[in-house]
Amino acid sequence: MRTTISNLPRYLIEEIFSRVPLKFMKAMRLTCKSWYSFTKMHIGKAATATKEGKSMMITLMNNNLYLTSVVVDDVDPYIEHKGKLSCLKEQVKISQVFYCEGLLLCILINDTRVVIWNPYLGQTRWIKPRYYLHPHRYRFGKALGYENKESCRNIKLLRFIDDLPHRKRIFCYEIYNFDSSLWTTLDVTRHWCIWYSSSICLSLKGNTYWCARKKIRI
Amino acid sequence: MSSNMIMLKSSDGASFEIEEAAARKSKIIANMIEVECVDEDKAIPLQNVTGNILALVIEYCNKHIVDDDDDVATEEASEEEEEAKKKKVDDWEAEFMNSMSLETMFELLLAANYLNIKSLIDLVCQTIANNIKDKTPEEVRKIFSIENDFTPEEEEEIRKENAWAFG
Repeated sequence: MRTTISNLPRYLIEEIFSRVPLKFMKAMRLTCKSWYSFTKMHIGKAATATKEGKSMMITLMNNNLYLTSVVVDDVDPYIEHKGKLSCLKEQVKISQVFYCEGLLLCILINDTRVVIWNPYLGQTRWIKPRYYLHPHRYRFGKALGYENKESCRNIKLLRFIDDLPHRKRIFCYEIYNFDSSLWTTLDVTRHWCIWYSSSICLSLKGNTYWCARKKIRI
Repeated sequence: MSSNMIMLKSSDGASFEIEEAAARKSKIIANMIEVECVDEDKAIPLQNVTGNILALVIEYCNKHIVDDDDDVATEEASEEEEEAKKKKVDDWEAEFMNSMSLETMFELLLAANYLNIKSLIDLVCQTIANNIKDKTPEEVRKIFSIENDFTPEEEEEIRKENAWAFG
């Protein structure tokens, strides 16, 4: 009888799968049902492997992203740089990064495009904005979010400017739909005012929250 | 160096003589030696390993016992020497695995697992994993003789899970 991979005990198959870089997982997943369940577990494992006492963090340093391990305890808390995240093939300089459920939204220096990056799967998506304003004068707020659909998540990118540069109020909200690859301008009636559009925001369950204040009439 | 020899017997009745130090690479055999259940005149029967696979296991253990001895002898070796030595082992391992069919690799992995030789398990797993890298699902199925048990609808569903990323 021929020995095939299906003759191996489950934990040996897991040993093999754990050595396949995550970016090849999508091909493995589509192979057959049992491999599909294996790979799902493998990705989950990689994500939770460090939970005990240790957390992993993605940090932005010198325009590059690094994986950093953080240990917080009473005795000897420390931070350790694990290495540069380098799934992005092209040489890019990152100026800002936003996080949403495993996806990283990277704003680049000297590049009008933004890139959405799934570091687990090594997949990227480049998006070109419809128009461009000089970043030193006008700063756009950006955020990733999603809408839960029946079969999958529909990921969306929000880009807005709500600012007062040179005493002229500029404001625009637009959204990019990953399924249709189209930008849509949002018709919003604002009762709020987010100054410094690029300021700190928080992403939770597909929604992003900013600090805002009541609108003032000028 | 101890030159104690011990005998191993495969499931199909082939006998192999191996240095004790090499055999100790297997945690199972090392344990047997520790508890003195190895009779000097008698071969250790390995019921789950055939002769051709056992020959490969022994080749691997012999190679690595020499390397381990080198480590002791050249404790003060410079970094370059260390690197050169590591490269030599890597080259040998690549050559060793390169001559094997996938079926042999699976059998070798089962044997390494049964005999509990951690470094050999790592080597074989890594080599098999390298066979999966960079392949399309169709290619992976062909290499590993796997039947596609997805319906076209299910396959479409999985592709959708990350639909935008497949573009």
